[in-house]
Amino acid sequence: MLITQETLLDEFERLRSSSLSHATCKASIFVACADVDALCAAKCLSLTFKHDLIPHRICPVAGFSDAGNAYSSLDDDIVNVIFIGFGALVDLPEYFNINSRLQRYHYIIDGRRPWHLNNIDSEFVRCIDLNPELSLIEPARHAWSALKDVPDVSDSDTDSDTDFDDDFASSQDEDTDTESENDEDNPDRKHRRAKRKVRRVRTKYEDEINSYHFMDTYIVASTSSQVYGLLSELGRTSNSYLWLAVVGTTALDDIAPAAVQEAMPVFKDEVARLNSEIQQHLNAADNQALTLDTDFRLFLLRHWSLYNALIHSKYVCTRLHLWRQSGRSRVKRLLAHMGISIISAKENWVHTDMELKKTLADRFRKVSANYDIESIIVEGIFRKFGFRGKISARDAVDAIAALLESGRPHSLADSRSLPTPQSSATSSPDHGAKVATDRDKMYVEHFWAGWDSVDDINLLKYGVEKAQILEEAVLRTGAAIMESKTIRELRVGYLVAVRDSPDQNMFLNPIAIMRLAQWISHAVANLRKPRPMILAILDKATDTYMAVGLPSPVGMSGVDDEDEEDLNQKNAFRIGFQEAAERTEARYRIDGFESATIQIRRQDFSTFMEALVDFQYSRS
Amino acid sequence: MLGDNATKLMQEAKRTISLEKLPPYNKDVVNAVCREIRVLDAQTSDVFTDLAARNTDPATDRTAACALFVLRLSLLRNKRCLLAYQRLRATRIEDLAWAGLEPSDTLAEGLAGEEDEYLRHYSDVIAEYKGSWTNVDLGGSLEPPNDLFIDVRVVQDAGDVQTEYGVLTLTKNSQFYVRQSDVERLIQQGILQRI
Repeated sequence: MLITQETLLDEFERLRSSSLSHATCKASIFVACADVDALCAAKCLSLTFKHDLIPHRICPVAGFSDAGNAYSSLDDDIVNVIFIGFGALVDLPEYFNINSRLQRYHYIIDGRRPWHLNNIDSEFVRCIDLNPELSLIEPARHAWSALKDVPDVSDSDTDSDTDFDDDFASSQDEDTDTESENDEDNPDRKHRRAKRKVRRVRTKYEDEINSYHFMDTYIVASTSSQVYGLLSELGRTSNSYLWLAVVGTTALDDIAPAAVQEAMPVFKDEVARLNSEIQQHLNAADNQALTLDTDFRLFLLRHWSLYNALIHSKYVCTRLHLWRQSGRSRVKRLLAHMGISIISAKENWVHTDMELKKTLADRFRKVSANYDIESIIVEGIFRKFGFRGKISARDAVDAIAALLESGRPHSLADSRSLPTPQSSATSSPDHGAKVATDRDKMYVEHFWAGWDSVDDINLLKYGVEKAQILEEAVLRTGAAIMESKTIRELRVGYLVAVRDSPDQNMFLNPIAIMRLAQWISHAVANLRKPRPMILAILDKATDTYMAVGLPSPVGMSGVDDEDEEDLNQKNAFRIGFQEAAERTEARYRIDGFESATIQIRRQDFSTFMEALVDFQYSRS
Repeated sequence: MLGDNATKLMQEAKRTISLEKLPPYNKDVVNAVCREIRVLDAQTSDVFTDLAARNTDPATDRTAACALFVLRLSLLRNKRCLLAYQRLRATRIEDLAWAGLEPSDTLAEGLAGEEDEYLRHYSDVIAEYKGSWTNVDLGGSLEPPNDLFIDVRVVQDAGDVQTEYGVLTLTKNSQFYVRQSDVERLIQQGILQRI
């Protein structure tokens, strides 16, 4: 069932009243754990539940198999399950075996589209979509429900109405089967004609459904902005909710710029509404106000030096080709143009000249046109932590993401050392699975570090330190890839395969690989034509490739001259990866919630890529 | 020197306050202090008999008055120290009894025979007292809770746990927001960690 803006309040009331009872715990929230946006949304929702004194459980999950295990171990008391950050694309009723026995309701808060129609159709699944694209959904949904009424012409009508994938795949076989059977058993031509007609209707509906389901994947809105939407319907907005929503939405800046640009003006209005002018400038220990201020597309500027922030900024670095030797001199030239000496640029931001800090925006404005970095100045949202300083939403995202990657500090001794994934030489199939589940457990543990850091400035500052180390690795690895000319151009886009890089183990997690992929994708797009890209990194511990597909980057030619539609990045690789993996009978694992990621065995990788190219080419 | 043994006892008592477990009963020192008290008492009587023999009023004989004064004070101090030592151990034993400890428990290892008996009797008294109020948990925490509901994080897998009103499935690394009274025991056992 689809829950829109109008029915949202009633639905929350239902959820509230059914979860509030004497029983210990009746609501469970499942969160995708390697996802800053989902984390913020879950925290927001959890705060809302606390406000209403609803006992609940928060269960971070690393992937679909993890979620399946956690779901099956739920006790029967749980009557409401909320999935945050995953679930829209897959057939949840089928996957979790949802039926009417428990009278359990499932809510999906996920920004990814298209919906799986079975989710919308199921009575016990509530899909939260505040601005549903009904023109797309309605015909497909109509076809879905109509298809159920059409009798199945084949003899094997077991579960054919729920599992349409199988149905569709085997439809060719059915054709021949039933034809021959008909000739033997039912010579009646009228009957046969009727059957043929039914089959035609079925095909029509199936085509309709497939055209919706096999659409390219895209993100319409951040999950945290959807939860914030619920809060504003309830009239419960406050600074802490708003901050979470802002951070969660900012996290999608790279992968869904359209969704971010749609939500940000609303948030900026909210900041002005909830924080008075006086409060924004008040210097007090408990002042946690949000403020609007000039921000730059520089990496952790306020916690690093200007020079480092420049070269580690994806935006500046890829535009000025800073990974090259010549790029370094270009930075120096840029700084000279801005009238900043190298020495003061390399000074830690805290110790940088106040005069320079105040005039930085003006200095950038003067030279940005010459260097094609016009949109370096943006309006950012900051949060104050009393006397402990303030942090911008962008920096908070990077810090939280770094904590999700590498966890909380263990002791003073290893606080600056890098995360070390297991590097064992044995490679039996069991070993691979074990490494994978160990990793899943690790991500879940790291989730809580990120969770706690949202309102703990000290942990956040530790995250900032981690983020610097990780970003240095991105620059190092990205530069090595760009220089080594290992980028292959395929018919469907670029392919980058990383086999021997000193840091490659650091990128074997969903957040880090995405960050590296985004960096390379932007760097390539600034040199050549923007196209989709696949990044594959070899995981030596399991002898598999972890691959991620990205749509071609947008916003490369300035921001002003683009319309909304253009910014909606649609990822074609979700369906492509699945199809290609099935066609080649490769051993693979699609477990993460990120729609276009796959783990595939090293031996199968080249055949997989061939199949992928063929499939993608035939679609376009 | 006079009072040294009692000081030793006090130092041990002071140390005991910060210890998890009661140290063994220090019989030797306690006996030494008792002996000292008896010696002091004997010396006091000696002074009195001496005074009586000389038939002088202690108020006029300042030397005797001073001796009596010092002896008396030392005696009282020794007694006070003994009682304090004993009292500290008794309160600890009572706490043990309230926590539902058996005399066989490791925490009760250092008890002397009499203390063991005290623990047993005290436990009986508590049981009897609790028995008349079956619907109230008299052994529960005396701290009034700040919040009705609290955040707890699961530190170790514990499977399904039955609470007053339902079941909790405790799998590692999930977080609950539940009624404090339901999970208090689990926090004490170290399965849950309060956030």
